[in-house]
Amino acid sequence: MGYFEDAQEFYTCVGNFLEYMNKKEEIARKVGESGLIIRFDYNNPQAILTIDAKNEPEEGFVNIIRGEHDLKPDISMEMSADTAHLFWSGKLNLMSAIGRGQLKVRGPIQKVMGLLPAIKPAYELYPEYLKEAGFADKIIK
Amino acid sequence: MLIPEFSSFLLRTRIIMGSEVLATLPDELARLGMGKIFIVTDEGVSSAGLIEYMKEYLGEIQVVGTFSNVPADSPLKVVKSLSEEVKVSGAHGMVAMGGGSVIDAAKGANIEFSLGGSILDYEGAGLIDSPLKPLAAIPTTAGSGSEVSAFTVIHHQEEKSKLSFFSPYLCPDLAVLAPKMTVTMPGVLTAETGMDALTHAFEAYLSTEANYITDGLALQAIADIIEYLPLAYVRGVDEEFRFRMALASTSAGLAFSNAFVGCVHALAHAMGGILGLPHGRINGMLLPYGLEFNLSEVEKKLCQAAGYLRIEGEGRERAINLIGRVRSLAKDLGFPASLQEAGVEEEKLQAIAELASVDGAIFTNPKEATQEDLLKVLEKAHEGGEIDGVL
Repeated sequence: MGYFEDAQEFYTCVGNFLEYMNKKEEIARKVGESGLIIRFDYNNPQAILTIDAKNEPEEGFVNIIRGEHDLKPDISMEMSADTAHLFWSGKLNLMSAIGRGQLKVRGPIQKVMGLLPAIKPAYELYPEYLKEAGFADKIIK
Repeated sequence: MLIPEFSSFLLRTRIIMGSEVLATLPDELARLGMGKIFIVTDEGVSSAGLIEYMKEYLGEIQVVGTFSNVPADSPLKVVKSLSEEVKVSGAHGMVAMGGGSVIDAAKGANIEFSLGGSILDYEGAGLIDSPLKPLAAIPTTAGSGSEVSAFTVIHHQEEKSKLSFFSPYLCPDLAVLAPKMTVTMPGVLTAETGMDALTHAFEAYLSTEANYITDGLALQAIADIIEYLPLAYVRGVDEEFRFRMALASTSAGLAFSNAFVGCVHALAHAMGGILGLPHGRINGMLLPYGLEFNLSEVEKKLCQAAGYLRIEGEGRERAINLIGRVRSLAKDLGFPASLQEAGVEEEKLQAIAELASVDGAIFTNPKEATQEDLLKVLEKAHEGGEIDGVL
């Protein structure tokens, strides 16, 4: 059994967290300026989240899309929902995860690497967010 | 010893080595189903007569094509031309004979040759999930480690970017380490590729992903390179020195293909992109500074390496003595004493640090390195002073 019971719970945690971050200018502005469409395909449970920094955002600095869509991503990443949870908890080294086969990346990986310094503050916000959202049991110590 | 939560070591390449190893090529290639081969090389290797020399050993193996125009940095256009030629040649697989650029170009072309479509569809990590057509690599330099690595980097000249590919299936099926293949290498190339190998070994040894196996390979490589690189540089015709360097380079390649690298490579990638300087030259100039920057995090491991090399001293002093040995080696090999001496303009350092701070290599550096940290390392390297672990 992983961290998430089903896709709905995953979207509530990770999806809502991305939307929460989209309001944080110090994090989201740089991602918005990248102009990239980054698609994340998750398994166990299956879910899809896409950060669209190419089209005009409805609110915040990027559009966060849940589920399938017709946009052509610049970069796609495949991972388990647990791997995503570890990542946002600041417990996953991206290069190590690639080496271990926990992560598949399609596209220019260096562009993703380029965004990591900007999103680093999110690692501290994620546990705070989980606690506020009633998911304190999912916080990784 | 701390037990890691998880660690791994990938070993896909059969490595054969020795003075008579070329004589076994027909059997080795036949075992891989390579009755018909396509040779990939560069002009330097070709004009040195190494292709003709190798062909003498091929026996019944049929050469159905040769591509001898791979330039430095494996440009995408060349890789695509190569894959087109291989596809129509009727070859069962490729034999890449050259340095890192040649082997990387063959790996790139092998993606299109084996899987069809465009190589661009496979840019990224973990996207190639089935074996490719057989590839044998015969390195003619001792530095890149590409003959055993799971990476290839292709230069997209039109977009001025580097395309990175990572998959276990990119590891060549066979690596052939023959001392004769590197004896014609010029002194400067010997020095630069050798310091590249030493940087692979040190950074893999100190990486956050290092493990028991990569440590063993990296330590042996560090010891051999420090001992044999100056000898191979001065007496390149000596096959024993060349052979020890070939072994050390491949060992370092196995180590860094599994443990990855660190801040020196991050800086070298950035500096190579901005200034176009040779990768090995940059690594050779920056390695002592990278080690000094990391010293506070890795003092114990550096002391262990120093002990392995019988370098005297206690604790931190011993680690510093090891770094001093690396600095002396670079000096003896004729590397510039500073980035300034190498003609690097100070105004470029900021941009290099910025680019290096988001390079993939930085994420397995043992000590967190911010853009500001990297700029300090570069500034020290520019003026040619020592950091002494105080950053």
